[in-house]
Amino acid sequence: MPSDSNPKGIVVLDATGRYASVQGRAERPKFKSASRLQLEATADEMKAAILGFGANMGTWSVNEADKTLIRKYEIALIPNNDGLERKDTVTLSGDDLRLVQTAANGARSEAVYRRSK
Amino acid sequence: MLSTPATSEDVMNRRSILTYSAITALGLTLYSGSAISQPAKDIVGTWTIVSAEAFGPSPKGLLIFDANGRYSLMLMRPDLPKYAMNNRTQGAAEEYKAIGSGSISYYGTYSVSGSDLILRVEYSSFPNWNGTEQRRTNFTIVGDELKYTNTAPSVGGSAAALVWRRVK
Repeated sequence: MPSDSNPKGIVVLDATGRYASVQGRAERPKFKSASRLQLEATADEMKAAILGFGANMGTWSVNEADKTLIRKYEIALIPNNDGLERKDTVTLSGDDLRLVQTAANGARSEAVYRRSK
Repeated sequence: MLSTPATSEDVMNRRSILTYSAITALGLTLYSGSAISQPAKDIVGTWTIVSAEAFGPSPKGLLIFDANGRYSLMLMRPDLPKYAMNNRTQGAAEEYKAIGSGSISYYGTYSVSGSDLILRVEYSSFPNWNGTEQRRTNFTIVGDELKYTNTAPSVGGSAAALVWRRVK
């Protein structure tokens, strides 16, 4: 996600090799309507809701050699990302999981998660 | 379909489902406590969608219930358009409409009460559900099939039955 001082998010890594990643901004406006399909007046609401939110799920694995977590997208909220393989450097210290991704242009993004107990 | 993750004891303990909450981005520490619940044992695991009418005849979806009482759910229509500009910040109104109405994702804590599955929503793609308690009825697990009814779907309309199958 873009720089955000108050992120919401979860990553679940299961024993079958599946994962779920969901994240977004804490403050996102609610729709005025109670139904997501009452769209006539809510194109802007839909855009705002989508842009502050990300989710993907699929399969995960760890590459020991370079200490990376690899997530292969099967379901992505950005349909363009279907089948994408994302690789993050992973470090686990105590209950903290740190994921660092370096983009092709050198941009570095980092997220830290804490184990849920 | 499933790849087998490489075992990595020093990087991750994979004996149980690991769930992590986002606490920082770019080094800023933020953490809010989470509710604890007592999940029914059979529910723990990962499920793929079999049937969810609101998301078309062949929906895509994954639902994970962990042993700590947390869940994460995502459902999507299989036929959603890719962003033509290949940049979601430059989507067309029709693209936002199709993707926003053809998908949903949320996570939080869960519990089972009788035949009700209670999903407390901490965070959702549908912002109106944030902080709400979503009660699903007719909750059953038979063999590897999990079913429930959503009496108030986020897309409106009448009650919808959802069916999930356990991933092994």
